[in-house]
Amino acid sequence: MSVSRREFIGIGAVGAAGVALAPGLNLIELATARSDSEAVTSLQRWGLLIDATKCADGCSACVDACHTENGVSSHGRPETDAQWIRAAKVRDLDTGYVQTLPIMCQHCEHPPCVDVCPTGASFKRADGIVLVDKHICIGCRYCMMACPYKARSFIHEDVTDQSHNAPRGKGTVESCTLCVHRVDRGENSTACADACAAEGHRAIIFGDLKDPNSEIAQALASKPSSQLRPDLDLNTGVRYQGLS
Amino acid sequence: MKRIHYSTIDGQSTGFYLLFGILAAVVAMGLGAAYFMEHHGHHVTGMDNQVIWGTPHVFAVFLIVAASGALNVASIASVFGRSMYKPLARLSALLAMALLIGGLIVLVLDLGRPDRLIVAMTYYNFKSIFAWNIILYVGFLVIVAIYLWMMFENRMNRFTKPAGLTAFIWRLILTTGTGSIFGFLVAREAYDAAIMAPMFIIMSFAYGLAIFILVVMAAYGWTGRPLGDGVLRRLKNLLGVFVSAVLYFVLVYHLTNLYATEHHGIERFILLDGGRYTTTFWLGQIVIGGLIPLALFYSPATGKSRSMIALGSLLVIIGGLAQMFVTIIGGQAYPIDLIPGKEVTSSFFDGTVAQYAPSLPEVLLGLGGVGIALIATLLAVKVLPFLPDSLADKTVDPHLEREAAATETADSATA
Amino acid sequence: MKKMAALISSRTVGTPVSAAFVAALTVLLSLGLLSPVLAEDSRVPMPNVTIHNGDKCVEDTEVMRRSHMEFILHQRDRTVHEGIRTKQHSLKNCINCHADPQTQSVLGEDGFCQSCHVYASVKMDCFGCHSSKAEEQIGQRDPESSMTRSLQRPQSTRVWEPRVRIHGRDQ
Repeated sequence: MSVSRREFIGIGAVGAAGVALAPGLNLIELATARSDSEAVTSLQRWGLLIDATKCADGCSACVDACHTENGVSSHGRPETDAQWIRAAKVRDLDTGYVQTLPIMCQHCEHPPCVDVCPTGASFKRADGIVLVDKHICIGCRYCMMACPYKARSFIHEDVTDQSHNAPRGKGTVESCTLCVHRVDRGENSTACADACAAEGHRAIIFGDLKDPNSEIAQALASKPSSQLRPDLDLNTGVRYQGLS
Repeated sequence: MKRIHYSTIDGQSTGFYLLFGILAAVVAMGLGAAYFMEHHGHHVTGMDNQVIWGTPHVFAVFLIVAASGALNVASIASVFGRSMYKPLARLSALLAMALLIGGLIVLVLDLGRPDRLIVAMTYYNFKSIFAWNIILYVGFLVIVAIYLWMMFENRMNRFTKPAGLTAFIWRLILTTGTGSIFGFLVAREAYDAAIMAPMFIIMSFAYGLAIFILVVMAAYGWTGRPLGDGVLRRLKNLLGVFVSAVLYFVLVYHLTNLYATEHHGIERFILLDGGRYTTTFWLGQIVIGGLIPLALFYSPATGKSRSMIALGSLLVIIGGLAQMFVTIIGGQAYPIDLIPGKEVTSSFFDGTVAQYAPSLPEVLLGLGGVGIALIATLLAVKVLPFLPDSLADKTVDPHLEREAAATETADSATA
Repeated sequence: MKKMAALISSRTVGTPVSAAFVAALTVLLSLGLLSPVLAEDSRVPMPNVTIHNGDKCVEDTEVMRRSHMEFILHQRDRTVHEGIRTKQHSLKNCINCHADPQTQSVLGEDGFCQSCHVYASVKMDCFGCHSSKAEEQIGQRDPESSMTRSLQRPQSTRVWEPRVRIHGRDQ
């Protein structure tokens, strides 16, 4: 099915009429989008594809956009400041070949952070997004010990002027949410992917890994890609291309 | 065997109040430090997004590990039926509870949201080792409390053995859980090793017994109750065995890592060029915590001296803290290998060794946990009869006198 | 707390004077210091609950007073874990509607949430993480929305009446 969220909303009235007229009709196939009152399902799995060959050295558009979108601000203390996404320089130890690429929460299918969390605050949504439920996070930081990607930050001091997109406060752990607020609004993008596209790099693609017609699924199907730490077999939702 | 009489300590002397005052001050400073950390947030500590668990965890894990080890003396009496250890069993169980409570309080007060302790009690993720540990710790306190009751209440004495056996098995599971907090972490090279669980168990034997020996010596010295040389000799010989076993496990752990090329980085860091971690490992953990105590315990010149036995026990404790420091903080300071074969650098300190210095609030909080354990022990021995009136060799075990005589003869023969 | 609960749940209390009196009486009885001087209205601190937008909440006022925390709690789990973001019981919706037009916030001395929670001495654990400010679209509300429309309807008597100042109603 290739009906996007917006198209679906556009034909929402028709769909609703269909439900009313033919209750036996199975609309699940059609439902790539959902209404506000529907729970997320495993029909989708959201992910990112990062093309390291398109990522520009010295560019921080994705990092800045993410931190603006989610209200992640610096206190001028780099060791304790949160970073949801970072631009990493990767140098091959043998050949000296240098690449740059962004690293964020890899949204694993089998996330070690979720395994170790004592309260279940670290959890994976049905649609594959790994989140921290800050309401029940006790700030033990065991998830940070367990994450192989150093994706998580602990909030070391009081936060004010939070973004409406991302509630965050002292004493809890946080990481990339895959712009879950946008996903829930039905927007098919993240702040980082948008910013990267706006810079003209298009190194980050967001989409539904389970939809064979999505741009991300097609890009993955057409070219070789890899995961970070594939040896851990975590089946990450964030994939990399051109990482050699 | 003579019947053992237990009594409370007098607890009226200046010394008692002085000790109480000092411990209370240590506890107050620990609580103050915790409040300071929670009020300002963890940025006032040495901990950051690289070194996630710091000095409070060094103390907390040490105390929790030592707690289960402190129960060993009681287990030897109740489970393995060694009569010499029987008079020591009550104090052993008391120390086990006190040390565990001290360690847990440190752990809880270091949480980002200690006010949400109730959440930790009501929301469980049963795949989490932490969640298991919450159950194991609470269960340990309950089981040891029942065990103590069986020991205290004459009519219940016949249940001492099953209660002791339950407590012994539970403590083995508990320390397995504590070791597995690290052993099951795939992300970091210093951890992710099954040997950590048994290693933590043998560490607990050593730390717990070292603390036990010091507490017995202090309690009997300060209250003027007799403490036999034979009793101390047995305890110190046992501690020597445990310290050797810890060294053996450390050796196997590092040999395993050294065999696998992928772990050469972390091994090089801990054993060769990790700066303070290397120093703490060799000097603190191996020399101070292992070799010197062994020499003190087994050398004919120092093996019989009470002060040397006390010193050896103290060094085992210092070595234990060093081992925790190297394991917990050293293991985090070494960067995560994000992309094997490549060097990753970023503004988030990827690929760089974390700079960590313990801050004052962290140290005070950790010491506060020790203070809580000791003040709880002090108050308990004042309120309830934990301590036998006499631990003189002939009261505890007639064999000890004969043993002592035998060694005397052997010594004079060699001399 | 008990006094507060008694006050809130008492449907028979019609005016703030008598409400205050009941509250004061409870205080005095509990203290065993029945003195008529202390029964003055000004001696009893009352929360400043100012309604700025409409007069109809997502549930009846009585229900909201007693159960708003349960609604928010339930919605919070549905939102965080299941991605359900219906407006009715969402904290964001509360804030958008109840924020003070001046400060744009539900906090502050006279803030909708804070004033009552200070009065009841109940700690809130929302705004350490959540923004207390209304989202920008406040004031740009659809004039046909029920909240705005309800302003034109005749007002019913409220328990808190004189202290509940509804902006624009005095004109």
